[in-house]
Amino acid sequence: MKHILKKSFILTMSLLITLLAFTACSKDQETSSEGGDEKKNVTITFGSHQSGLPTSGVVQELAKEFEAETGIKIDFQISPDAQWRDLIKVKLDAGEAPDIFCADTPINLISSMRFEEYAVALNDEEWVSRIDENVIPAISVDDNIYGITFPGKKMYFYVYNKEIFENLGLEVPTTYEEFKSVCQAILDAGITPVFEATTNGWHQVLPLFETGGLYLQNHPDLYNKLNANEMDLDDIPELLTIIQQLKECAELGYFGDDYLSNSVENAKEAIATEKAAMFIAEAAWRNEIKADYPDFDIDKLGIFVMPWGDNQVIGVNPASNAYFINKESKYVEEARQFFEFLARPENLQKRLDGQPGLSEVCWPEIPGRYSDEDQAYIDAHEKASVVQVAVNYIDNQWMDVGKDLESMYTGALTPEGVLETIMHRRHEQAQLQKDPAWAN
Amino acid sequence: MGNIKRKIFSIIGNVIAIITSLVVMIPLIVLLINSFKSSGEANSMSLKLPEKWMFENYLVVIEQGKLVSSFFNGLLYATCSVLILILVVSAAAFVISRNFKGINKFVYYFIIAGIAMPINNVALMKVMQALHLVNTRYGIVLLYAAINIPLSLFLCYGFIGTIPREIDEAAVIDGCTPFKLFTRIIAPLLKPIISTLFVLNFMAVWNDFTMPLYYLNNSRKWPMTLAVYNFFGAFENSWNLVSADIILTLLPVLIIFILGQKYIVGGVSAGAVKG
Amino acid sequence: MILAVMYYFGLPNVLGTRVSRAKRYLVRTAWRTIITIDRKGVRQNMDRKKLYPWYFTGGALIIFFLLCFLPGMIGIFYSFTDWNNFTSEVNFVGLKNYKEIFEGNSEYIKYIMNTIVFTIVTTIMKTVVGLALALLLTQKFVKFKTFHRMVIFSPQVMSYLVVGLVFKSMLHPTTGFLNNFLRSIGLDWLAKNWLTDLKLVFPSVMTVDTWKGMGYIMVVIIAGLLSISPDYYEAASIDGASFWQKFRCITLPLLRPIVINVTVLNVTYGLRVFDMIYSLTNGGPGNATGVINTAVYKEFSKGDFAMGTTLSSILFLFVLCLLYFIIKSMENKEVDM
Repeated sequence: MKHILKKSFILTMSLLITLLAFTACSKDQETSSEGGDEKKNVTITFGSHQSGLPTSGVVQELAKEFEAETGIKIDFQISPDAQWRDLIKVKLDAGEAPDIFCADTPINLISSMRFEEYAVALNDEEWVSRIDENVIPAISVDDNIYGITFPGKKMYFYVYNKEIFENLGLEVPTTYEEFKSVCQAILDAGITPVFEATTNGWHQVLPLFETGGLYLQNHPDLYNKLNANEMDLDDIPELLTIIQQLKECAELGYFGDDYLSNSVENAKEAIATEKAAMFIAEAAWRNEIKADYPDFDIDKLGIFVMPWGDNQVIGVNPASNAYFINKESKYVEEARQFFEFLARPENLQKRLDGQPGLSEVCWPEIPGRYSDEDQAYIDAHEKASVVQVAVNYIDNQWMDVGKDLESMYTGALTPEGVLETIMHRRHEQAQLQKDPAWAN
Repeated sequence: MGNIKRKIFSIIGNVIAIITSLVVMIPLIVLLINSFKSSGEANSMSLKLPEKWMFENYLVVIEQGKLVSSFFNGLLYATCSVLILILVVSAAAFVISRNFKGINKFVYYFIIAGIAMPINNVALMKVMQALHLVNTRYGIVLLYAAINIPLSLFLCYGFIGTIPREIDEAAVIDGCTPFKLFTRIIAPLLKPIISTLFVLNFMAVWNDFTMPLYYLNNSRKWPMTLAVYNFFGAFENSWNLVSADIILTLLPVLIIFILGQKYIVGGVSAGAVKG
Repeated sequence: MILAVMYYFGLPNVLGTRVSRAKRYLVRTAWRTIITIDRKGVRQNMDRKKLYPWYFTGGALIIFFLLCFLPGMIGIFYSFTDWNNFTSEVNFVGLKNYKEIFEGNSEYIKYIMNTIVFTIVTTIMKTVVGLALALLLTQKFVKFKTFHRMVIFSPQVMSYLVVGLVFKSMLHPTTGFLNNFLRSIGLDWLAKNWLTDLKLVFPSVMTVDTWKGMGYIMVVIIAGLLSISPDYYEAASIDGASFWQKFRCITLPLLRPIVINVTVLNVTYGLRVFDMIYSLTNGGPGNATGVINTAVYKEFSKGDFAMGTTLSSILFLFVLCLLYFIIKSMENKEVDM
């Protein structure tokens, strides 16, 4: 017994000593590298959520080139999407945020965070004049520019398999009734008409708010009225109609059996193996299929406008995410340097090339990637801003709406209930933010 | 007759044990198999064997995932915080349990109430900043020790109550100082509860990823579990790589567990039989 | 003193042979004590304060106070304010947040109910399954006991994140392993939408949680079982007791303190569950599997910090009350003995 005690004691002690030695070592390394930093290189931290950086790792590659050029290291800290919003708020509030941080930017930046308090103004940078002026509101507060952004405006379509449509003698639908009959025909042929995926939380919400053009046609000045609290979402009957149509399609089996378990990442497989015929995505999403399934001919895939509620207007979303420099950072100059580096034309091109799912960047000097056919289709249609970039308190409840729709599909909520919950949350947020339009 | 009955029992018992083990193992096996598949194959996680065994998945993961340094980070945080925890908790539990009145009683209930205490990251951040513990290794170690103190104290207190007080009295008569009494006489008797606390808290710390996310500002200091998360970010579509990454994260803990399992699972009995 | 020694020998040998070392030591020293007492004729009165110095509690107290209690209290204070992410000023609003939870939004009540159901069910399942497995894996006739114990314990070392990822894909209705397996053995009717069917999702989550947690409970109970002296069972066997009689009259009573500890562990875990639900269903489909801590999380990410802390403060009070009752009942029982 004594023996065992002694042994275990020696064991623990030796373990401890190794560990201590290790900590000492690692601390040494750190100090030595940081000591070296002061001479020629510094490390700046770059905090982002998963969707803030292209999955291809192109930003990380550019950072390596930047390091080779300047000696400034970039330490990427990628957090899960779901954690990020909370995390960055806590860190900014405490002054512990990374030197550069990435945040989602709905069109009026002011409604999401107090950027003017947290971020460095970048008005004097050379690249400001080169950025597409349509996205400037998304990165500025009161005429001060705080962020740099790259992804171009987003437009979501139904990407569809032309071959399946041809074989079944189907035409591209322009109304909801046509859409339904197309779906029925495809379903009868044993193919899932629409690939839908709700587990990511955001995809199922697109039909509700990407169809802003339809609402605007029937309700002039809708967005301003919504923001002024003069109108509410239930004053748009089309919105409720679309929610009901979603439910109808789900019940008719047009989304397949597993849409509640699917994730957006599975869509590529479903489309490439022709198990499903349609999927809501950006036009350039087809390039991602090509990367994963080289044998699949992506020219088979065409695009058409989401015909929910007989909509025929393309929704345009200029907002995405942007990178900001933390005001508290010790390395503001180095971070500015990195932004300059990223904004160089050759690096913008690299970025577009390195991100197959991106249709264009918001820097007009770099040509986009829409094919002639797509461009012709896009030019032939009207375009309008999507709801979430123009109307307050929609974007920040996007994932919650996703859950409401899930509830609706499982039968726990009616379409009317979904609408009501969305409205309720808008009021809650407005009051929380002490929006003057909701003052009484 | 009794013999046959016993045999039937033995067969049924063995079969149940094997089935249970299998059911528990299936997810692990699925992970293992998928870690050798190509990206497309791994999209549907199944028990089908891969068409071609891709061992290079592991190389990719080790290279890209910064696994080696993050492994040592995780080990450091878990071991150090648990050692600190065990030291302070067993000392406190000893004194409180032996002299359960007045201030000690208050201290006990005060700390035990912490079992229910919610963690508020904003407030915690402020305190950590005030104490200059943010973004430091020892800060996170102390933090982990702190949040695990209440439950550990509760368990340890209960255990010390089962050690007869007469031992102390006898030891004192033999001339032990309080310090000696605790280290020489009591601590060895605490081995079962210490091994329990060790396993419980080690796993909790090892598997946590939220604390480093908030309180460590440098990915070089991140532990393994968080490195996995970082990895998912970049490779969310490559289930094969994610599987390989998970396997590599599990492996060290499993190995530690296998090596130490005599002390952990056998725990209480192992030392006692020979004693 | 002799009485004390006698008492000690009569004490049920809960700690088994481990204590025998202590016992021997005790016997030896006890004799010496008795001799000393006889010699001096006076019983030494030990100064408890000196023998058990207060500063032994210091380490735990300081660390706990600074890094657990203080932030916790500051957090609870915020539940009486309108603190949020959008203004830097914080106003005191009294009990307004609490009222809102219990009056307006029935969603919160549902989360509280979900949490309670989750806690009760998983605690019972883990304890029962863990106990059964522990009994099975201490029987002589089971082969490869240590291997089985190790395997069943192994999920404990997986992080919730990994468990969530793996089970999400295993429970997928068409491509998932479980349904494919059920179909391949002809049980198509059993292949269900495990994580999306409103009726099934909560049981599924609780089963996965049991899968992960039962191993630890089993190990703790095994440790307890092994410390029960075989003498009891031998004596009972001689008296012709059946397996169940032995279980009821020897095993269960002697395991009681362990079972209570395990219950405290399970209950406090269950009430505060977050990682498991978050990584497996994220509270979905819809809000069907939402619990208090997922709601807290949601309020925080909405920027409504005050409401988030209010919810977690309610949870705090709840767990505190429960703890109080468990600990009180334990103490009373101790006195009875």
